[in-house]
Amino acid sequence: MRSEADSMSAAEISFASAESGEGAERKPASVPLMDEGEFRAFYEQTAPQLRGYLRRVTGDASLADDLLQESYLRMLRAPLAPTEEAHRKHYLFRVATNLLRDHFRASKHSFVPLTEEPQPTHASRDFSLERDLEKFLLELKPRERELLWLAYVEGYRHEEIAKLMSCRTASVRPMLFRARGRLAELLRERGWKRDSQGEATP
Amino acid sequence: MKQGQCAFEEKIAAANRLGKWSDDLLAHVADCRVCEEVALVSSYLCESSEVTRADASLPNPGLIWSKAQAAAKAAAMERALRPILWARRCAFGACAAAIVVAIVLAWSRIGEFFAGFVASWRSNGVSPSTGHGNVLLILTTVFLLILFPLIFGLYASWSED
Repeated sequence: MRSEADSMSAAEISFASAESGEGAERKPASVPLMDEGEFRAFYEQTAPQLRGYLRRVTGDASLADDLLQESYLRMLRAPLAPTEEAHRKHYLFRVATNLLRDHFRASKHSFVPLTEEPQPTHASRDFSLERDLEKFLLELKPRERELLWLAYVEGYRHEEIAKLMSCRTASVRPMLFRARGRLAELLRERGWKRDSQGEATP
Repeated sequence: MKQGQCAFEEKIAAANRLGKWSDDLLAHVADCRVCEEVALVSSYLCESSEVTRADASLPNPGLIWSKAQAAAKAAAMERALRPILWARRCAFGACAAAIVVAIVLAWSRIGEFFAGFVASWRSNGVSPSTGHGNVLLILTTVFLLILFPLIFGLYASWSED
């Protein structure tokens, strides 16, 4: 993972540079990206979302935490990281997506979902429900999980997803269509359906 | 609109994320197979997200900040030491080049000396130092060919540590 990490930083920089036309204000490398207070605020705002993404794509809570920390570290160390809030979040998700790709490449888990049993949390209404929530997603390929999460949980547009996942915009729609179809099929097979309030229930 | 696509897809996904369903959208979902699929998948994913976000045990941001500061200091230190490192490398390179030049220039003398040394040793066991009268040349040769590269190599490897 480390070796890819170095090559990735160049990709991050090019990504940041590519966004410079959108009005993102940048600071020179010698000026800190943000102070500690700003960082804490940004972290509190974005970490739960990013953690959810990493947690559901990897299926491993401790790995998700490691990748989460690494994502923020990369962002703080990047010389051309964006300074605007929305761009920062976008940048962070791109770093995390690249780290996920590195991880799956390195560990050759691309087509073998991790099978860590989820631990019950205080807020989960039902532990078996949480296990189901994780289980279905892990039956998809990591790239499909990333795609579905970015599109339906984070609400990214196809162009943004293409940037985050380093693929062509035109490829996003068919990939998303296939991934959605597979997940819907899995859910239907296990008897999941939408209730009158629009929520999916077993 | 192509098969498997619907213009309402994004609106359905957004309604799920925000939890704001209008009657029109609900009616559309009931009739549209694509949007029904989008609604099922996105509501499942959003529910999954809510469960994950409710787990409050996030890594400590202070630790991440400290690590980033430490990494920044290390990088600054490396940047500051870079000219010194280059100066040292240049000095080593100049020394190595000087040794090579010295050996090349003195190569004929060294060859003659060793030829004479071997010949006199074979013929009558006469000490080469008496035959050529140049102990200093032997010491210099040994130093240049063996000891200096050895010391240079050891210093170069240990100094990196």
